[in-house]
Amino acid sequence: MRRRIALTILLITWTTLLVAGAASYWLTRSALLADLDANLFDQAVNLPELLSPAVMRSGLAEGEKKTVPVGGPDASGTHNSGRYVIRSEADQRTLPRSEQPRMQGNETPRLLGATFSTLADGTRVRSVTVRSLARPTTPQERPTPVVVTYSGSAESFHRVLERLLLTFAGCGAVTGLIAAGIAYRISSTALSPLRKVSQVIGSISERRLDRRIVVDELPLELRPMAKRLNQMLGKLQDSLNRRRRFLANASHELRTPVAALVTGLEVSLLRDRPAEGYKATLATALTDASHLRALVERLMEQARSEMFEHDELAERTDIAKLLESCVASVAGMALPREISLRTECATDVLVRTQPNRLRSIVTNLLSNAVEYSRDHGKIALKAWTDAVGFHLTVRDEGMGISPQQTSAIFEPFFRGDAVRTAGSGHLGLGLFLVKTHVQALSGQITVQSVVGEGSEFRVLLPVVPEESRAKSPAEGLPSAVFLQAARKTNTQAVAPDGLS
Amino acid sequence: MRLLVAEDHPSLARSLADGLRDEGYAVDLTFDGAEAAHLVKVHPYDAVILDIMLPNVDGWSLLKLIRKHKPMLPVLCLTALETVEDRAKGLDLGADDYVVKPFAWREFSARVRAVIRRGHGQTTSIVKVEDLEIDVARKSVSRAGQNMALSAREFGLLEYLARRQGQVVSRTDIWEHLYDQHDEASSNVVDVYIGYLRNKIDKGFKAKLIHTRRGLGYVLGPEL
Repeated sequence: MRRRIALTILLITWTTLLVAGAASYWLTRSALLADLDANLFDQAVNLPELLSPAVMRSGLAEGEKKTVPVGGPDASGTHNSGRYVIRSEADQRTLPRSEQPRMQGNETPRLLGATFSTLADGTRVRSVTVRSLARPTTPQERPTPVVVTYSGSAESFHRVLERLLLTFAGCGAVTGLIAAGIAYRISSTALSPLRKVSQVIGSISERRLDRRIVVDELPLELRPMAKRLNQMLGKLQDSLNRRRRFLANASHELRTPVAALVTGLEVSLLRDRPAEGYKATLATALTDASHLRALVERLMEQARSEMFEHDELAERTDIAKLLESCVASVAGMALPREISLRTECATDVLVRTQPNRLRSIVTNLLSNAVEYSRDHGKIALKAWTDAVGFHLTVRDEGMGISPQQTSAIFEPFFRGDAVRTAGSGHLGLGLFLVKTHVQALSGQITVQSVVGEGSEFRVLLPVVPEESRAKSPAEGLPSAVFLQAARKTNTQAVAPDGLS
Repeated sequence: MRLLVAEDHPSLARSLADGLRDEGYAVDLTFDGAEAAHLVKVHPYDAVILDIMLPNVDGWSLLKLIRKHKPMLPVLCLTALETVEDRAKGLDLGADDYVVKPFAWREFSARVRAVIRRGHGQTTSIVKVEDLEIDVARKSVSRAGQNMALSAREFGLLEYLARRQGQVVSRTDIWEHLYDQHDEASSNVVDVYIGYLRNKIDKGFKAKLIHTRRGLGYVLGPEL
């Protein structure tokens, strides 16, 4: 990341300097060149030879090719810093067509062209070709048009430009590198908050989940991200704490039943016993082991029910049959104490729901009712459906629940204190499981109770009664909206008025 | 030795009582904290095995109560509360030992012996009276190198006397420490068992160790 930033800065700097440099180079060059040419032109036009009688005496006639013998085949010499060649107007073949003069007598001198060339000794020169007038010495003569090629040294010109170019290149390169270097350092500082954040995150593990990123130390742009990260960490920590607490509770709850089993067997084996003694021990051990198993199953169910993946596919459930099987499973607890269980449910009640969750709800409510009932008590179980949904009630004549406790009873590991029947494997999870399942089915559970008289638990699930599907939507049924039975199912709930 | 076991899990409580009785202790069993509080005040125990999660009066309150009324009574906490905080709390409130369920019987039994031993201010499990040597842990008795076989009750009685060697112990004391609340009261039983004991450890030895103090009781120790 830093290298990319540095490289980008480098390229930007160099490109900028390149463009600026090129522009100023060309501007400078043009200016210098114009200056040079003007200088040369001036000198060319003011050549003394143009006033020289030799030139005049040559008597140049228009169109005639004539050489001017001043110091050579051409009148040439060194004037100031330059050299020059004067050619008569007549010698036009040397000039390009476009330059061929059509000069009148009193035209002003004109620059015809300019070129760079290099002499035999390596000197670089600039030559300007000027059309000028050789001035007449006598009033009767007309000024003679001549073409002067004046060459002046262009060394200084070239030297300046070369130096300029080198300076630009050198400064540009150095500036670019400095800029890139600064960019590299700055980007490192800019990125260090990110590095700090990643360090904090790296140091977080299951054991150190309480670490948080210090948001105020970060630049503004990074704060929202850091805040979100902290929130996520908080949620993770909460979730892990809940699991830890559950595990701690569970392990604690299992200790006494395990001790009962182990100690019972150990004591029995301390010495030889008669056969009846062993039988009694084995029977007790079996009871203890069964309670342990029930505990473990409840714990497992609790752990599983917290996970969404435990949602089953909703299916058509025969409620009457389901209730029957639940009642059968608690009969073993109820019969010895002569507690009676009565079920009221029509045989044609069919509901689309998750059967195992519903079974767990009913079984747990029933076993709770049996647990807290007096001997010879009565428990009534009712189920029906109506426009609102599926209703289930469990009523017992047990010890009841005080108003202060009605919300606490649904908390995990809650037990009515006076009835801590530790031997029955009562873990205090039953109602908590019921609540979890009811919530998973998007339902509600309420309880009404009078201390000393009994309690009634009511469960309401917003489910689609199966019969309604047989009716056609056009029949104008009451406009209650039927909600979907459970999350993540493949079924589509169809409401009679077309809402879904 | 008479112990009080306060544990509300019925099957565990019964196993504890059976195991301890097999080892020769007299055991009073209760499932309830309030009843435990009452029993501790009324009967003389050599140690209390206490579960913390008891109904009506919880273990912590019971601990405080015992320390208030019977400060010297050894208490061994037997509980499912296994966290460090709970252990520290138990020991700080006055427990002499803290055992977490589930546990191995051998260790539990040894810890009970240790806690009783410390209650009597003794440091080893070997009690010596003159040439009589009693190994409380092994439940073996020997006098002058000669091993003797004692029944559980006899051993319990001997141990009780030996721990109070040199002190006169009344019949009532003996009976209260060797029989739990459900045994029938009969001071004659004490005399009978003293007789059995004499028959085993004093018979054939010139120096008698068990002495009768008329009207007061018995004492185990050298001849005066």
